[in-house]
Amino acid sequence: MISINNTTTSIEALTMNYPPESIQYKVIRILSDSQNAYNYSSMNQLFFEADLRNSIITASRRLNSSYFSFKIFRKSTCNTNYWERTGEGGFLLKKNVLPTVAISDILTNSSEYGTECATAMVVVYYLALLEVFTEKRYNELFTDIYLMDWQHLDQRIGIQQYRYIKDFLPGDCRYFKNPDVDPLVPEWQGENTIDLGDGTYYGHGLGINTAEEIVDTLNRYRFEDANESAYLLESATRLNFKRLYSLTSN
Amino acid sequence: MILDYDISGALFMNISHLSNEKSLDNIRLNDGSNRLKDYFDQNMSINSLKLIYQLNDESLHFATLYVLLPELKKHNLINRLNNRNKDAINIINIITNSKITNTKKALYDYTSQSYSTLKWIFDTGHQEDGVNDDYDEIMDRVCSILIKYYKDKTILNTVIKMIFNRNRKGYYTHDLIWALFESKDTEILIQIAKYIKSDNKEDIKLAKKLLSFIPNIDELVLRNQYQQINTWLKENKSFISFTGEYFQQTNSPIPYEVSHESKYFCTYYDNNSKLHNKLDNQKQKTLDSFSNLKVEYKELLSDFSFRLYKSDKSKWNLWIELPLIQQIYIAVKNII
Repeated sequence: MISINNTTTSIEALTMNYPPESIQYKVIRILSDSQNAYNYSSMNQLFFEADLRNSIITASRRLNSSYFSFKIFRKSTCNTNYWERTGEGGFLLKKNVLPTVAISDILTNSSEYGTECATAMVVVYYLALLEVFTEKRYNELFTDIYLMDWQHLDQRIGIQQYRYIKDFLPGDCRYFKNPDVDPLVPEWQGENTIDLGDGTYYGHGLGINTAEEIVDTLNRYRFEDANESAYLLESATRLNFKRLYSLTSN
Repeated sequence: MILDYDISGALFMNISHLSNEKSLDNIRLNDGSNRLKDYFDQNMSINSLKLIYQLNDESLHFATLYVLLPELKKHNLINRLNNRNKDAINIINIITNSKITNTKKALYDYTSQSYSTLKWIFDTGHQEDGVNDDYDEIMDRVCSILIKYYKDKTILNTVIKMIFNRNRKGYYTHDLIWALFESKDTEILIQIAKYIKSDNKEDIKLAKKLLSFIPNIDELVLRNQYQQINTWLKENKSFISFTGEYFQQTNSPIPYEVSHESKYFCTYYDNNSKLHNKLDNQKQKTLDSFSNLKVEYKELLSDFSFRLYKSDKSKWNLWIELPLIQQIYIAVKNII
């Protein structure tokens, strides 16, 4: 159920601007059909979340079509015109480089970039945010980008893991866990993915696959005699959409 | 001088007692890796047998073998090494070959004494951790195989030191932290907590991150309440369960959590065996009801139960048989 400023609002009023096959429509539909109450301060706040979720999916697909490759942190690579590669294998935005330029370069010169799946998710988010913030505002806000893992994502983005939830939405980051991974290949201990809203998931290095296909792939990297299959966790990692909406204007 | 043959037929001798002999390890440690390689190249034509003796010496450190590996290949000497060294080179090859993904098969196919060689690599090689990415990757994998495959807990305290040393230098720590937590050992938490008292800010930051599941950890660290952190860990470590969450998965992983059910029944938590199976029928029913309680009631009852068990087991035996509602009443009033 969706309420706008504590008033329940009909699905028709909320989806009239979106075609039924759109991601935004699906997002609003799931929220509206849910037994949970989702409250937004305004319709625009809800539309911002739906649009940003759509941008997350678009960014995932674009990254998947690029030459952005999978490499373990120790072997990670980046365009050093814009990024400094740190001792732990992350990419730190260089001084005097515009954040919008450096982030866009990951798609423009994608073959120069290679890293693990957690960083890829962070890249997806920064790429998606390019679509919802003006260039000026983006460059004001995200001046200290460090592409590494979840720890280093800009705090204003407000990333949070939601455990044991019932509603899963297109644009959610979902984690496939592989508890019996072979110790030789810890990079296969799990896969961060973006829910593309059509029964498939984008995972960096794996491409776009169904949940069953991802589980099958992870299971191939278990140790011999393993007895636990890889599985999709009942949790989702999400941006703080409401806070980000509040940041769109000064 | 004692000459001997190992089971591969390779000649070796123990020269560690020859104090006037400058060992390969000493050359590396005192003069550096490049000087060691030069020394090795120069002496190959003069006395290659002596070099082989030195390499096969039981006191050799892994880092020396690692540094000399290109020279050994260049001079075609690998077949003249003893089993330990041959195994170590095969382990390096296994780790660096991305197509090999099956530990059990790889160790079976390519090594003759895998565990003792892995231990030798770790014991004599960990001090050089941080030299470069390739070397550190080998140490990461050796640790994960020893911990996850061989269930070796003797290395855990050293692994903790390696993690904090790397963290101070800004080096990659994820795989080592992963290997450490895969031990599912709760004693490591006490060791990690010691870094809360460190003078180094990076140590404290990392220790806080790794122990983030302890209630109010930020505040306790801020107020230098190390003793309280330690007390909490000692009280709860028998009931802590391993969740398998890591930094790869989320920004705020909770790798361990207290099993309120185990604490309530004052029964050690065991990752491999369900609590349910350790209880009689009556207690199984109580467990089912307990599991449906709100978290705050679970916390209340488990804390009270633990304290009562420690102070007066006969009273605890009576209390645990009461209906849950009465247990809650007694715990709230603290009247037993």
